[in-house]
Amino acid sequence: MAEVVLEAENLRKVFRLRARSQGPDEIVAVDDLSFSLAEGESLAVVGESGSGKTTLARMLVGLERPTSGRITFAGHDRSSPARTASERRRRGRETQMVFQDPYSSLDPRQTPASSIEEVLHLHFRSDRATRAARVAELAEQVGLDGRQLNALPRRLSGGQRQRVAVARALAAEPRVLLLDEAVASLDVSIQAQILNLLADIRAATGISYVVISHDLGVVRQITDAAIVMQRGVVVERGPTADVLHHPHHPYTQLLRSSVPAPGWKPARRDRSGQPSDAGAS
Amino acid sequence: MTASPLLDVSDLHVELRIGGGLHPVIHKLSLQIGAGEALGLVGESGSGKSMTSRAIARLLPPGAAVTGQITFDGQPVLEMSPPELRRYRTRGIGLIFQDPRAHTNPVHRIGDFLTETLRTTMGVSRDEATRRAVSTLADVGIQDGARRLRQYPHELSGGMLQRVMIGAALLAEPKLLLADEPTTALDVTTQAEVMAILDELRRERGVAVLFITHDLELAASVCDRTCVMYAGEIVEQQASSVLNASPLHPYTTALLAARPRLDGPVRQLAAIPGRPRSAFEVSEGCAFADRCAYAEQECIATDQVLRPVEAGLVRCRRAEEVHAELRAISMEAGSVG
Repeated sequence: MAEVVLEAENLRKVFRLRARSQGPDEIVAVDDLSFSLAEGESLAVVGESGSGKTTLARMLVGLERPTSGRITFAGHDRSSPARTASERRRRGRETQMVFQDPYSSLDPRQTPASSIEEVLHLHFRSDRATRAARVAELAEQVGLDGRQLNALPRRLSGGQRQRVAVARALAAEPRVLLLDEAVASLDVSIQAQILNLLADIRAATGISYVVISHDLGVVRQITDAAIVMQRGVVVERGPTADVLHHPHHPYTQLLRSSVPAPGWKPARRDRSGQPSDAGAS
Repeated sequence: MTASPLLDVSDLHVELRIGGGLHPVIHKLSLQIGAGEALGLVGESGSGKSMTSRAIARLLPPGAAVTGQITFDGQPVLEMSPPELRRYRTRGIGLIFQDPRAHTNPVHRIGDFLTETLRTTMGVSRDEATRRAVSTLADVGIQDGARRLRQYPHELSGGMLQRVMIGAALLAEPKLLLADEPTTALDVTTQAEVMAILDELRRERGVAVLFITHDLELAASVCDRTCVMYAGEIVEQQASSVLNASPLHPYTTALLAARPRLDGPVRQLAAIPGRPRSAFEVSEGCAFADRCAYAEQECIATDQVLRPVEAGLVRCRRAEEVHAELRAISMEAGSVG
């Protein structure tokens, strides 16, 4: 049994809204959410907009403080904010994040080489030569060449930028990589390259992934287990194959039947959320 | 086809002014859409699919150089005078874009947005325009239309706003809808619903649709025929049902294989090496040759023409060989499994 690296227990996040004349004065973004992620495991968090999956990600990396519940990383409590800069840096090393939009997650005036080196400089005591060697090694790992390493982000394509983002995240040698819709904005042919890259890296290093995605095909390809969220609540969980092929919850079934596939016909739903067969004629 | 098509684009060539020079974005593109027909236009970023629809609507950026013919209902679109163009853009075509929020004015109510065209261009009275707006909203699945008309765009969800966009495009009863990635910004369950609405409207009203998307399977679900674009050219055109089952062009084949599948992970996805090319990066020879597993010296040296193969059109000189090879592989796999 592999060691558990990341664990969430009864996580809850409530956002208070400014006093309004009508409507609720608070929103429960995540409610009573628990999971555990083992070393080398890949966990999918599936859901649509408003399901709370990004709030969950932000809590896991410490960008958002849970209202209640516990987050533990390799046995250490993480629920409260880091008190010192060194503690914050240590947490940053353990979990890294790759965002959806490679166009806005890189500094437009910094070359990939320098942005990766910055991470190395921050987290490791090493000399310039060692850092340069490590930058080259990371570039090799994600498939960036020398020209790309020294070009400004605007000179790179979307796929190349996402490789930079992955290399930068890996530079800290995290044990958990959080991928928030990391391939959603890429073209299909490039998306396949990045998915293969992520699979190779996990096989080679034993890193764990939390994959936040609305794309069930992507989830099927790179995760072992999945949780399905709807309006802040987990409605279904299990091995990815079971969840996608034998969904029990009506919402998972609806998600599954909404994915275009050969022979698929879009169906209108009535208000109860069930597919209607209005299309039959 | 006996009657002449509703939309006939032939030898369309578009160059955009970028920096000092002209960059080709669409190269010798021809397509036809019959009345009431749905045509899918599928491609990756930079393939020229959106530019094609903008050229058809004559909404290209200033300084664009356009040659070729676009004929709509017998009329040459590229030679229309401003009044003719205005009429064409209301009664002829309707436009639906990817991001409904970017195409609605946040300080105008939904009602103003919906009825503006009817009142200004078509001279319909305010009451009549409102009545039609409410009934169109009902057609796109919004029942409490009268209340929605008084709301602002920010009060509606993305899926709801996209339905309003579809309603707005339909209000003037155009003959052709240009739908540019209309569901890409939506959740999958909402996407299914919006696609169902589009499909239903097409069947009931006989509106022709040019459906632009990057998703081959989504296009197949509502389109009769699909064109696949690469680097500003159509590389394959086929009946949608055939295209997904047995693609002829190596690019289409590769695109279908690269998509992660729901029916089980594969050990390694068949990624296409390199990145999608834009039209201006391609000099001569086949635009896909540098990423193609079947490319030969001859492919790189000579321009490829779109030619009939089986029931479709393909821009690949080796289409038959490659197709036969792939069929043999899949039959082998089938007999083993």
